[in-house]
Amino acid sequence: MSSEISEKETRKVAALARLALSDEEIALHRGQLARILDHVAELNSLDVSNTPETTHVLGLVNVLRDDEPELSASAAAIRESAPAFGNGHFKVPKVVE
Amino acid sequence: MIETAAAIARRVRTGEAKAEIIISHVLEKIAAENESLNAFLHVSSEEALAAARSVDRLVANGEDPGPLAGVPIALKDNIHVQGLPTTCGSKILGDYRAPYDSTVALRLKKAGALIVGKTNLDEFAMGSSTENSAFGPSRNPRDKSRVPGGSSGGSAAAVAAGLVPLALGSDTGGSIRQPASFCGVVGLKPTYGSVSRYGLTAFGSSLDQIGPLAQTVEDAELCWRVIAGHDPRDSTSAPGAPPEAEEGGVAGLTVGLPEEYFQEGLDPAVETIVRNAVEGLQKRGANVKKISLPHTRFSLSVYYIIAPCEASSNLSRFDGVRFGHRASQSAALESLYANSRGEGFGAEVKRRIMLGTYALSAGYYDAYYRKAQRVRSLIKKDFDRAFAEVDVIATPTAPTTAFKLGEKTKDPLMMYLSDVYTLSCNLAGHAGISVPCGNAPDGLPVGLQLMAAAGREPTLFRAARAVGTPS
Repeated sequence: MSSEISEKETRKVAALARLALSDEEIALHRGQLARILDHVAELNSLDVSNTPETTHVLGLVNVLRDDEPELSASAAAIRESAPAFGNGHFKVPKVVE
Repeated sequence: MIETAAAIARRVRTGEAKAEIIISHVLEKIAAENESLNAFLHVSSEEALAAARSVDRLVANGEDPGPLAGVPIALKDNIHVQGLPTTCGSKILGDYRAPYDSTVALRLKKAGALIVGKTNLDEFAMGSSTENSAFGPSRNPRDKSRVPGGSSGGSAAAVAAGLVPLALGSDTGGSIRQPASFCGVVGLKPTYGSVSRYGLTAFGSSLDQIGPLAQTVEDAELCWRVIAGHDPRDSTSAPGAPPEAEEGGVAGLTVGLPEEYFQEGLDPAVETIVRNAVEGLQKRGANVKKISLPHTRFSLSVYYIIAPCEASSNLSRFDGVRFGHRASQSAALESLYANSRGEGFGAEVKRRIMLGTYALSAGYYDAYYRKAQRVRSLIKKDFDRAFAEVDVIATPTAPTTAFKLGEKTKDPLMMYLSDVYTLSCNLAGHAGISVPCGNAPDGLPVGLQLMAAAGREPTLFRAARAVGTPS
């Protein structure tokens, strides 16, 4: 079995992933994705219709704790990490006209 | 070589040695040797010196400086240390500095350890050679034309070169154990949930574990005891304190040898050394038993669905808005995201984001992620069955010794295969350790991987301590 992924589909995945890729990168990923998907297709030889999924290896569920305020990273340090900050907000290009 | 962490801590705690002098030597050595190894991306000289002076003060005042007093330690550069850079080996983090301490950094500082810097890694811990680092590859101290393994290659190289006695790495599919094997040092991947992931940049959240790289099993255990234990800041953290230490050697333990790990693809030289090491355990009183982990051959496929799916979700936070690299000249928010990510991420990270996004996209979720999570249960069941019969499982850590720089960079699948023996331990959540067990005829080190059931690190250490010791 050989997986085939169209250029259009590759571009759609890149858009979903919010990744701007060059034409060369699209071509490269198209081929490599197909090759990896070919390899993982071996899982189709297993019938797991009655096997449960492993979501947490230790089987922990609903881990809850009291919501107690404590000191965390300083607002100043977080502001300083931002590429653009002003008036108490992270600045981004205009989203509404 | 450098003194072991246990020896340094003992001497500093008794006042026989000064932490400041130890750290000064370490900083000099790093300055002299790092250029040819590229093990460190950042050296925190001032912070380490200040920490050393404060340890010396505690000792002078008769106060307890902690179990790792004066021990220099390097942290993989995906683990947050307040005020220091965290690059994750990526351009996308730009000049980001961690605004808070990871839980492991906090615990190390409290224990008197001296954090000397941040080590190189494959970008976002995705890779097996450190060749995916945006800051150039690290080199294997045993042979500088070869890779140190990865993704915690900088940490392994730093310990192997004797720059530091201890380092932390992270292991999602073998990223501590495989470089430990390639560089001839000890590398522990603790039980999933044993060590807090708070402050570790997430890659595959259901697989990631932080663990130590060290020169000896004793040092790895010492470090693990400091960083392990429940953390309310990590919801996947295992409850309770780490299990108590076990005395005694390998005598009386049953060691399982899974046939699936000794088949096609294993370098015959590696196989001979690993089998000799297992024989050595037998001579010391271990009961060696052949076992089967029948779904082993599916672990690569399961891993290369689950890890990229989780990565594609985790890495969505790198968007050029709150921190890290932002592409200039983006007219709209959407293109700001896409351009920042397109410019900031390297090829392997893009490949895994693409793969994960594809596998999680509408119409494919059941066929890939859900299916892989089900096959993961079969792999886990194999281990459950095996651990009902044996205490420890022994395998090669990697199918080959360290390969040459550039040897596998053209073919992603070839590179992925170098983790083939370490992946299933992460998928099942168990504890694993790589211990040097000899050198191949070409002089390169070979690692023996030992695995124990979740929560059974003390048993794992008993077996690991016996590797390579006289019978």
